[in-house]
Amino acid sequence: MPLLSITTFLPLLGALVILVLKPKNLKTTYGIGIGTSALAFISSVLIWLRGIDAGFSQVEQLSWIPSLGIAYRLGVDGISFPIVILTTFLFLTALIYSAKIEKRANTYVMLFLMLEMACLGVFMSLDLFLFYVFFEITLVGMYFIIAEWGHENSKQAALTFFLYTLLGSLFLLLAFLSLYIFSGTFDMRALIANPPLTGLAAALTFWGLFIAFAIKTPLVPVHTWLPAAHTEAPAAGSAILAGILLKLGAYGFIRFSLQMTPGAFQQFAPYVIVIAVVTALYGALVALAQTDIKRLVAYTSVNHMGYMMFGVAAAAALGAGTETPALDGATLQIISHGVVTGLLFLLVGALQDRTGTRDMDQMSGLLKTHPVLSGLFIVAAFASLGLPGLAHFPAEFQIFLGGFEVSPVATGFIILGLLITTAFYLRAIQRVFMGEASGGLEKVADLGPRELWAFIPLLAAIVLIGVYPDSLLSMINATTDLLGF
Amino acid sequence: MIYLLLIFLAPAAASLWTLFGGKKEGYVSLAGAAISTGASAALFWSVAGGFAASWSFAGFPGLPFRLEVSYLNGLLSLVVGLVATLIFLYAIGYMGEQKGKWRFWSSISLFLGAMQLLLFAGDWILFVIAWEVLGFCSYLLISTKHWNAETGRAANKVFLINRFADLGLYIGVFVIILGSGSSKIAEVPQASLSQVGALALLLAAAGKSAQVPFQSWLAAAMKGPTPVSALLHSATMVAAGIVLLIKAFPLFSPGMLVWIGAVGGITILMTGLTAIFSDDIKEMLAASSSSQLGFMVLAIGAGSPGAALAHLVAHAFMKSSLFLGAGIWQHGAGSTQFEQLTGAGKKLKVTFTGFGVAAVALAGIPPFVGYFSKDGVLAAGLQSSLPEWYFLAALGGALLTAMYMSRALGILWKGEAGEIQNSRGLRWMQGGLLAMLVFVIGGGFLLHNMMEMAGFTLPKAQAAQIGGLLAALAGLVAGWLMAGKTYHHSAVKFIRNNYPLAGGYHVLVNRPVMQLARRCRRIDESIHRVVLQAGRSALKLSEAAGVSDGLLHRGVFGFGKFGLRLGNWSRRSDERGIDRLIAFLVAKVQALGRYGRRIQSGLVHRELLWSVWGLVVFVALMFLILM
Repeated sequence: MPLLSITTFLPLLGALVILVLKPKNLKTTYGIGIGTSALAFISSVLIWLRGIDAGFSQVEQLSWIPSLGIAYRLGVDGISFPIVILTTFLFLTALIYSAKIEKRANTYVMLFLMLEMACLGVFMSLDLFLFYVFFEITLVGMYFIIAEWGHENSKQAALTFFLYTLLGSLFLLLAFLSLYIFSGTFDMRALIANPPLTGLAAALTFWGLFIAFAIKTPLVPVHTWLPAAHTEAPAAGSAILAGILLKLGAYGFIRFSLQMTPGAFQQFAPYVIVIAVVTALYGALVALAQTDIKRLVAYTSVNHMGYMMFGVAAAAALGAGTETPALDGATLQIISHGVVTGLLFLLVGALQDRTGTRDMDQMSGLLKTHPVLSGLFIVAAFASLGLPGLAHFPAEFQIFLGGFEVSPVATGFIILGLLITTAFYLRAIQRVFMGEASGGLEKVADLGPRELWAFIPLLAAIVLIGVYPDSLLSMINATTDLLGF
Repeated sequence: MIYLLLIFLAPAAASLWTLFGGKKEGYVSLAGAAISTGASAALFWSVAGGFAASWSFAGFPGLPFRLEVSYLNGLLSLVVGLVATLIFLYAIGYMGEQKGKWRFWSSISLFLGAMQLLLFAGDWILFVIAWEVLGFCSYLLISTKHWNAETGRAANKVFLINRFADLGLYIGVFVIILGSGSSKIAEVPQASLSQVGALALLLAAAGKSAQVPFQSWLAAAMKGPTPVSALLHSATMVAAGIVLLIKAFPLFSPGMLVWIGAVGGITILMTGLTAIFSDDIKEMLAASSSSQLGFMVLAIGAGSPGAALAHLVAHAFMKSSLFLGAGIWQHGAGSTQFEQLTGAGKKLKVTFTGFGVAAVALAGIPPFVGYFSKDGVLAAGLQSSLPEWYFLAALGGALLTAMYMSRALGILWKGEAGEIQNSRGLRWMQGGLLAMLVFVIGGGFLLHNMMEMAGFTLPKAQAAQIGGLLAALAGLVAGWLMAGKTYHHSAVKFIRNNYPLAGGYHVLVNRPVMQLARRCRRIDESIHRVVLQAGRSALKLSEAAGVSDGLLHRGVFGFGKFGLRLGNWSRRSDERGIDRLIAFLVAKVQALGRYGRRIQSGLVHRELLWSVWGLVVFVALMFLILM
């Protein structure tokens, strides 16, 4: 059975069903949405059960435009599959959480399902052209979700998002063209097995890819679309944006920059390391100065993606043939950040629903009135600041361990990010959840079943990855070993 | 193995039970601790008979987690278990009328599980995990009264300072792993640690064990409930730093030991002085903890982990007893300020006797346990490479210890007593205190044997015995005379507040970091403004020039973006790529302009529909081609 294609296009099927049936009540709409994304999740678990090899496996291939060497090629390996399962998982929980939005619910669910299809397509594509098509669809879907269902300044934020990503797509297109021209194939497996570029072409292609993915990831200084988009997007949109869409960039660095232009990456790794360190520290510092809790969480993404980049760059600097934990850590960081930040954004949404504000100075004492919400937020916050036993620790520990081998000084700096992250989460927790409760909130109920159904699975994943990282790491490590990192 | 699992899992289960709203939190937690300690005792019985084992299981790739059972681990586990069980017993009384109980019990049970895990960790990564979870539990426990702004700030301070020191542990562990290729905690390492690695580990230990310059967090931690202070900040969490130094001892080169000894010696004296001038019984005990931990660090610096271990075990029982006594007074008088406690000892004679025995033991008077362990440290100082310094620092410390303990006793006994209420949980609390004293009184005779079993020696020297005893007696007399007198000199204040040099952490670290953060935020906002401005101008430009290519425009309308992209790609094949690319770019910017306009006119949903249809057409096309 072509499980990969089934997983990818199941959400699209759900969207078509909604388009045709045009259900009138919310229950049917969300039922279809949650149902199909649940099926996609199950289908991705089946892929897992069939066994993920170190190299690309379960490949599904059909010729498409033979004259150009373009084909429909899907496949997974130990790096892409964890992200695939993260995608189906996070979309499922985000849709469950969304099931109260009444504003044009049909369109909302359709957009979400379309976005899910596109993301799955990106992570499973083994063809440059197919990858690019899916990559662009994600941009459109996210644009409308922010613009239509966002908060006060959503139009402006969506526009910034669009402008930046458009610029990124342009560089991506150029880089892909160069890869194609020098190799004559769109098959990513061939490009990885024999990186075609050398010299100036490799350097230019590397920087083209770098700019494209740096905008998506994002890295400083091309990150300013992120806080704007995150703050204005609806809660579930922010969760998907942070959890999945940023990972397009992260995945791109590993799949394209590291594997298709390894020589150039190794050459430029020192610069990338500096950018990563600046990104991590700068993101953390700006977060420290925030009063808007959603912006704060948004900036933690900048910080965490800085760590991720650091791990990839450390692996690149060592070059293939040197075993390093850095790339394992960076890949796991993608997953950890997805579940942790996804949960944090949904929690912030729940918080905003209850208090009607995102300003931390206007909230106080929620531990007293809403112990379950507060408790979950505290655990998620500590997960985000890297507490052992929760999801980020195994990722970050390995990144820093690998980074220390490459550059102890850079590691000494970037590790300070852990301290700053700790500081702003503690401040936020103290301001929002501790202290005396402000009046009027006693009557607002704590988390309801819909929210708990979304939050508890995420929390379980956070704890599982933290306590038993080997569940994913063995798969990731098999592939990074094969690649020589 | 089954015992080992019980040691961790019993408290963990109790923690989950209370977390999910189970009833009878206190009793369940006590049962969890008791089962854990029972298992610990059983395990200790078998390791005393020569049993040792280790298990490894999946951790990070190439770096498996390991659990190690040895005499040293078993002994420490039993001590921690006993102290914890008695404190849990006490806490049932103490927490009887307090709010936030479930949170307290859940965290303290988790704490116990994490501490036991730390002791049995056979590899450095598991050690780091347990180490940081301890810090997290400590944060939760200190902020038990979260509605009080002051406890929130105190908890933040504690966790931040701890986290800073944790970074030292990270770096140290990186150096160890990269140097040896393995994360195993080895008894006989291949090579000693580099200077960076050793200093990083020293930073970690100094932070956790509240050594200079991190001594002030321990005073802040006293904002938590007293059982927390008794368990975490005297017997267990702060002891983790010493456990780290003992386990890493084989890695230190002789040159590094001097640094360790210096930190210990300075801490003994500085925090000893703080304790003497303290005006709050819990803060006095906190400063005293730093000082006593300084003795252990000094012993390690002197090259004798045995003496450090002996003092660690002895101190756990003595200091917990003292805290438990302090908590009883806190409940009775409603305060921990010495002013409110004058003469309180006369009202609660049983408690005073218990407190007194523990105080005299800590001062180093035989036959109590503190006499033996302190002698060990003094003798270790004499036998080290720098006998004058180590011995003198330890001797000065012994004098200070006796002074502040005797001063506290004097204040509690002399003077007119205020009103003391008999609180409801008094029986539970006194029960916990008195049971603890059994170990304070009898433990000293077992210390030597235990250290030998653990593979260490407890040094002995006659000069140390005599010197220590004289210092203790002199201190007791001086302290008793000091009691009741108050000091207002500014230097005294400086010492009492833990030496806030140049304004302390707040001025030195907090303020500049916050300023930097605000500056970064302003930079960020201006970058965003520039980008928006540029984007807007580009849009206007494209609208002005937006008449050019009607055909392409319709393409965007009809197929959405994908059709456009497809068109461009297929046309790219007729080798006029660059031209097409530019046309494509223009089209994209135009499309953007139209998007912007249409959003404003509120037609987004129609646009959306088109996107979806575009997608459908695209997929249909794709399948057609595939056929």
